[in-house]
Amino acid sequence: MSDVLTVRNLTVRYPNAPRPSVQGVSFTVPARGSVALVGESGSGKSTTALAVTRLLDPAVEVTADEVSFEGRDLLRMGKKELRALRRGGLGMVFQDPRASWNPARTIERQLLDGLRGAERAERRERLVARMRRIGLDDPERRMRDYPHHFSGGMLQRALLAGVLVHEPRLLIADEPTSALDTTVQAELLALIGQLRTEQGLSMLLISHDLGVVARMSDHVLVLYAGRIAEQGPTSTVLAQPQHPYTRDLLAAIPRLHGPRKVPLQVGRVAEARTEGCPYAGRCRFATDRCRTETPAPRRVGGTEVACHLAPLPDAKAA
Amino acid sequence: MTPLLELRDVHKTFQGRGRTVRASRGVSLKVMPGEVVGLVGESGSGKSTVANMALGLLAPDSGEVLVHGERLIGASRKREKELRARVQAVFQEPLLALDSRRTIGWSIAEPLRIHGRGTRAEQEARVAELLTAVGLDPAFAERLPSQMSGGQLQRVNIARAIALDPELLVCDEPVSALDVSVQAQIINLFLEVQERLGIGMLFISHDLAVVRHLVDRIVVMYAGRVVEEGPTDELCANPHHPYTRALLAASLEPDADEAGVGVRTATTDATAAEGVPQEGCPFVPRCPLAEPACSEMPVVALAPTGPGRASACRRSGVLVEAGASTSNHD
Repeated sequence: MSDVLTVRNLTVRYPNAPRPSVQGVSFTVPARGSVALVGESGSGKSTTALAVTRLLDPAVEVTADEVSFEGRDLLRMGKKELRALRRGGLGMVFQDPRASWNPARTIERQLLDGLRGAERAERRERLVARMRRIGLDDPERRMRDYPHHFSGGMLQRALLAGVLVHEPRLLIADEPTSALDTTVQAELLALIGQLRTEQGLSMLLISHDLGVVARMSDHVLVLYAGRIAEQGPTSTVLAQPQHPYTRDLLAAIPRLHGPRKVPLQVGRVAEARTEGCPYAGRCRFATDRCRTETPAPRRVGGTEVACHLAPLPDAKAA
Repeated sequence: MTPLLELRDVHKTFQGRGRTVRASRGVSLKVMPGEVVGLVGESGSGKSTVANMALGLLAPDSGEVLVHGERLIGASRKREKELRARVQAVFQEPLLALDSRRTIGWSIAEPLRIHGRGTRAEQEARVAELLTAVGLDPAFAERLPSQMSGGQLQRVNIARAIALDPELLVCDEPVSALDVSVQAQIINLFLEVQERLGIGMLFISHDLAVVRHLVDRIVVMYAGRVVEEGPTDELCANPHHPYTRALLAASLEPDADEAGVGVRTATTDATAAEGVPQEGCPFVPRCPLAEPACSEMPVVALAPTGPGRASACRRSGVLVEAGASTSNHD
């Protein structure tokens, strides 16, 4: 099957920034596939999503060999076509459910506005069916409520319903569950998984949480300081990480089992480097070569990794 | 031994327009000297209300909040000040607790000035000592908050909180706003500070996995009530309340298998505040173990279920037995 989204050599630079926020990032989202961008604040994961969806300020410099959705060039697409796409094949969900809603208008009015074409009664009918599908009890009545009557989890579900009613082929979800409680998060993730299977939906997931990424993606890109540190099938990257950063990130996650002290190898956060490997300042294996020469991505084991030192000696003992 | 902090049957209700939130409905808990207690629950469970009452920032409607066996609210001004020096706080948003126009050194020395500890030179020396203790360069005293990262600012807040050598730290979601690697560093810093100073802590979080790394004992709140408490390892290995079990099942670990799916789908997204039965157990709408009696009969009180353990659930017995049989297989 063909790819839904193709990104080749994407670079994004904010005005006056010392280095690009995203540098040479390439990936594809295959039909029905799910790709995750993972990294910490400043890794460039959200900037990548915003660049792809053309939501960055025009002053931000975006260059790429290709950014295309189903073969259509997203970077050179006109405003009108872009808007149609956002209401059609390309759906988006963001982190803060409250920020996505206008507090002064009812859920129903906001969702109906997004729907074009059919008669109001018919549009409403479709919405009600969607809302029921995403687990809202008594949707006819609840849809007349205002956003502040809804819990965060419910708002995020309603938003998802509003996006999915357009039957998108690709869902771009930027930290869709990070603002929610763990129990609510688990339910919403299960729901997204179900809906993806039912609708044959592809997904680009942006998350800082490797637990979420493990559940929700087939392929993962680990970003550090705007570059891809490592990428590969999610299960391989998490089970046999080849980049020191991926390993450190995995080790730093609080866990329900195992030792109390977080087995932490990450040093103090270093200033982002402009030459050499961006992680060299924090990496416990770094050599002189790492500090001067930027590593190119290579295939090592089952993943593609940008590290001079891969494979690391104790590749399994992450 | 007198507990550092004790809440006795504390009630607190907030009245809004047409809405009443019973944030604390008879909460009792203790933190003994040197003990680290985790308070866990989701948004709306009342955990932050408990934190604010423990700090004397909110007065309970009824019940008592005791620091060293004494009431904070209602004590003489002088005594209140003395008691307050013993209980310090670290909050979620590192920036909000600091004055953006003042240097880091000024902010860390603020409690020292308020409580008249030492001369100016002694205070400066103490600031340097505190910065070192939290892993920062003493030269950071000259910086402004805007010149520091979130993780560094949270270190500053910890330095400030321990400036008066308190006996108890109340920490409300202190690592929730941080990136994973920074979060891990701050968790380890809390462990270090606790070990070195032997300080007691009430550590509040929605994230059981974070809390587990830090605390000896966990108290789980749901809809304004304590529903379970117990020693950390036992409670995580074998929860005695269905809500605790749901919380554990919802924790996503990158290498966890798909276990616990049944529990997860059995819960529904009802926030603690809405759709809660009047009389019966508030967890009923989300509980996979609920039976008719759970919503028809008044909610059961917290009752012992094992050594150091207690659960407020009519059906705890099922979980206690399930836990006993699995540990027999080990």
